[in-house]
Amino acid sequence: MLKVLYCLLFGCFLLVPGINSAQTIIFELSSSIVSFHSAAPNELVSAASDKMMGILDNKNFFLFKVDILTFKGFNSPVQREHFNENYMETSLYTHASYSGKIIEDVDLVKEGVYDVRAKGKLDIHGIKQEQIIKVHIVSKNGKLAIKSNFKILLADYNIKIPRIVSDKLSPVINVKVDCIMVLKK
Amino acid sequence: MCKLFFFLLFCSPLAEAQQPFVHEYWLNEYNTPVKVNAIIQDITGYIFVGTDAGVYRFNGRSFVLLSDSICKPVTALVENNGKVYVGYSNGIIAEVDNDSVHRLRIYGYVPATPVHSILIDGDVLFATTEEGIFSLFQNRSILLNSENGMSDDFAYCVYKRSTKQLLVGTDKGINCLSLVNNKLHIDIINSSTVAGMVDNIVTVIGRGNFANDFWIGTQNGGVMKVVISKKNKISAISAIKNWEWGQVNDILPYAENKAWVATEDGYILNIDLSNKTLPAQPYYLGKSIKKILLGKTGNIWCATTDGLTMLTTQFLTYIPLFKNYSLGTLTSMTCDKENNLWYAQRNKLYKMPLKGINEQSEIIYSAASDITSLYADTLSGIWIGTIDNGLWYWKDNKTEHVENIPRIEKTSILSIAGNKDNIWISSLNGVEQTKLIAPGKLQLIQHHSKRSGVGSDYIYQLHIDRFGEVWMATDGAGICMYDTVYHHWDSSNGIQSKVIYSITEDVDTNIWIGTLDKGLYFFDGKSSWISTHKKAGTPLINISTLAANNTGQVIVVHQKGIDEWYPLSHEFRHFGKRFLMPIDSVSTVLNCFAKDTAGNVYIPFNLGFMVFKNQDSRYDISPTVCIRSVSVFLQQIPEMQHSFSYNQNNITIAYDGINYTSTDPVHYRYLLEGYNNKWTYTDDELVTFPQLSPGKYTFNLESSLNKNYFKSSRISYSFVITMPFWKSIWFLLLVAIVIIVLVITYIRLRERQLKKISQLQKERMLYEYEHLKTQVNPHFLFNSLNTLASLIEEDRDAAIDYTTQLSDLYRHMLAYRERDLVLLAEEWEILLGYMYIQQSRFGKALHMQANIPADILRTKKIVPLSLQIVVENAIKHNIVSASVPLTIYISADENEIVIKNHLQPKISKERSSGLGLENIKKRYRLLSRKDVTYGIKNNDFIITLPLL
Repeated sequence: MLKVLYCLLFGCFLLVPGINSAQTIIFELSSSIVSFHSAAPNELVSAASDKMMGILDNKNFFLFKVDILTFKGFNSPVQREHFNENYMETSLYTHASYSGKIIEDVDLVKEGVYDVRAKGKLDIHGIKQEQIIKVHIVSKNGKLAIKSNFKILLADYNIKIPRIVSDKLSPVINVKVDCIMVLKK
Repeated sequence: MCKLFFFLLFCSPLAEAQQPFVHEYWLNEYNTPVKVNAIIQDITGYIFVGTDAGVYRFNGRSFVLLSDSICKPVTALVENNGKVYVGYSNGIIAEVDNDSVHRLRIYGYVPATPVHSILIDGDVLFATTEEGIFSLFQNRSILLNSENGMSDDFAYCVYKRSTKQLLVGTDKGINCLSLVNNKLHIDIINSSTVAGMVDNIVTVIGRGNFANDFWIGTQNGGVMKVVISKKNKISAISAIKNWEWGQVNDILPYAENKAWVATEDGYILNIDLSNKTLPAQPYYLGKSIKKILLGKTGNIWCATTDGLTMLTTQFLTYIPLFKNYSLGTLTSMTCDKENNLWYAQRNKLYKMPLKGINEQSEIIYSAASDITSLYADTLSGIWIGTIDNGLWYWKDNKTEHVENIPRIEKTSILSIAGNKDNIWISSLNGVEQTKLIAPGKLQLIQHHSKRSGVGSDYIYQLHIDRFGEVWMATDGAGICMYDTVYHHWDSSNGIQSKVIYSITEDVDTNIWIGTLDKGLYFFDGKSSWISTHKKAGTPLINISTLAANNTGQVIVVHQKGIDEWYPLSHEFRHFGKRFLMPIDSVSTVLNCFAKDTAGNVYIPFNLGFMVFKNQDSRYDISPTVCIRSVSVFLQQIPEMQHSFSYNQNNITIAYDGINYTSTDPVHYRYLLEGYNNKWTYTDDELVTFPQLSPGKYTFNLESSLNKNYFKSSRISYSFVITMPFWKSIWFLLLVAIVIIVLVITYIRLRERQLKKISQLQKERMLYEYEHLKTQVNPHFLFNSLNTLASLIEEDRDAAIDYTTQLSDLYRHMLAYRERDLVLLAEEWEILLGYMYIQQSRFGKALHMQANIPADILRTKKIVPLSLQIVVENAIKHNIVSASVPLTIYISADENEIVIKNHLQPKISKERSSGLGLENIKKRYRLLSRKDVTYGIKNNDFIITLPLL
């Protein structure tokens, strides 16, 4: 089963410029929580998923991917339905992904605390946007504890807010990622 | 249609920092965001807005979406020599042509990633993309990236530092591209090569003030200025340590060491490297700002995720006041030498230090009655004028009442002005000229009043100009100026009102006055006062305050709002509720303003104090005009044509006024030289000239904000309507020549014809004469009569027949001689008659053999009597006897008739004029080109007569 997943991920990797299959994946994601919240004047919406997948290679290229349907939370089941059907169009765009490279030259295998910036294509709602995300990484005992907060502009990803709910949905969504990656043996 | 919407953003009710006025522009519908990625202003003044929905052109009032077939988000815009180039998110580069966008033709490499910025350098276009820097020269492209030695592929920005060096901002520092020995040489500026580089991700490079410096904006490290020393040592100076306002998206340098910076997190910061002690004053716009633009009128335009946001911060800000402030109770203001703003609300005196940030006001003093005027002297003392309680002095928390001048001890103070240690005080009892001898101590020098020569005891404002002359705004005596004597100006100098409320002096030392009911005047420096109402056509306003800053602008506070005059262009910005600014009310208190040491003017309004700032550069607020299209019979012509044919004489010109200082329509006036020489005033943006006669025309167009065309920019369009070809001189000449030639030819032909006719007549007359002569030839007659006589005896019936034939012959001869031509048949009848008579005489000695087809007889024509003459000739010249009979052969075909007889000449010739045959010949020549021929052949005499 894992092999199939790896093959799938490798298939994605080939699309990322600069990556070839000769590079080795050294970290893989073991546990994660990715959450977002929208702070509109009239309503707070938040949801989270712990089903993110991710890999990182020795050249600091990475790929993270999450199934949109795995987001849970929301204020009501109807809201989740709207989220999946009206805004994210999950049936068409099942996953959100972020693939790219860490800009700073760091060796994450070495233990330490790193504040780095990841730059890559954030693919949400079928639209890829270049985004720089600040990441706080603690490397210890072959484990990476990764924390990151960033903002997403809905307009960037062609997610239109109907005027009637403009005070219930913020045009800027805060995303929080908290995950552990482990050194592949 | 865009809808205008205004709102104010307060950072926090406690922080009383200076705020800009903010105006939001929605590109389409109100509250429907359109993400703007790029913004530029072209030379005509249009603002082009690059959005996710395409390129919009903005004239200050409405947005026009340019048609484009690319349908991708616009990510970059650049203007060069009037041409606007557009970069798209899919790497396409296009140019704007009138109302549409056309993609550039590119041979070679075409990028496929977003164009982040474009630079035009002469003929070369550079575009930064995520795959490197792309350059285009004469439609051929090259890509430079990490394969060529650059530190990274992802290029954010490109900047031309000198003719030899191009800077490209990437994720891994700045790549300095230059050509060394025709080879590409790349130097890299990053944190490991240059000291002070806080961040390697360089998102923006901004123009420096000198050749050796430039600004850079980074992703995380804020703004830096990079300086290259003479020894080529590069250093980066960080403007603000611990940057916390997000990725720098644009830098707008506006003066030496000063720049506006816009960030991804929605902040606008005014960076001043020369004054690092001043903390940064970020203004939070609340939405990501992609680009900023300083418009020609001084507005700052922000490209945001929602649309456009306009800030007035370059020329106007305000200090919001919340506690203890109400416009209605504000009575007086002043500013001291330490830049503390003093203001009075009724009897309370407040002090507010102008630190630029977190201004807080505190109550200093409560007077016994309302404070009417304030003046800060050189010794940091504050002179306080009150109602009915005279003059007070405040210094270091101590106040004292001025009592040594009895006239002002218990009266109301109207105005206080000063210059060094001269202090002038206006009260209800005239003006006291005093000298400051010690803190709080005044020495009276002179009293000025109605009686002393001022003309009035009530002086609303005292103004001491920079030459030390004292100007007095009097009630009832116009304006009075005192140097050592009194000078007066009133209605004889053009001032329509005798009541003057306010005086100020602009930076060019011109004096401006505000009058009761009659508006604003300025002094021409010699003798007369010019009314802006008359000159500029502005409505009459009731002015309460006049003030001038140190860069030439004059601020006029009146009942309908606030005007900021730009004396150079004779235009003003108007601020009022209707005009973008939320100014609900202004103070009606006379002469209530303050001016700080730098010259910025503070004017109260409903939310606090407006700050009319000194302006860093000369902004031109007069509107510009642009001719949008020219149409012929309402059909738009594709290109600016300057020549039209005579029937294209219905010309429609559409134009557009560009103006960013007011939302009101622009006023225009136009004049068509060659049509009429009168200016036509209009608010329309279209004019049609029907039925223009051929000629040269020049269309002149001017625009104005306030119907004042004193110094407005003019645009001209010249065109020619050509003469129709049939009205041109050469054509008329040609026609005249042709007519003359035709007439001459006709006359000549007619002359020739007449000559011919007259000659013919002459010939005929000659012929007739000859013929008659022949007819009365006595021989013929004698012979004929002899024959008749013998016939009478022999045969009576034959004699009668003979006589009839003879008379028939003569009758025919008489009948036909008049005619030019007769039918051969008719001639033949004459000949037969003649032959009958001759045969009666000669009997069997004369024969005639004829062979003429009947149809020729009927159709062909011949000269009359010609056959008869020829036969007569034959009989006349040949022997006709029984022994030698004469036979005459006549034959005819289509063309001719031949008469032949055997030649047997008489020995004694009958008398003959010899004219017979010649005459026939001539007549034929006149009638046709065919010739009569005759001659002797085989002893036969042959005559050929042509048949006609």
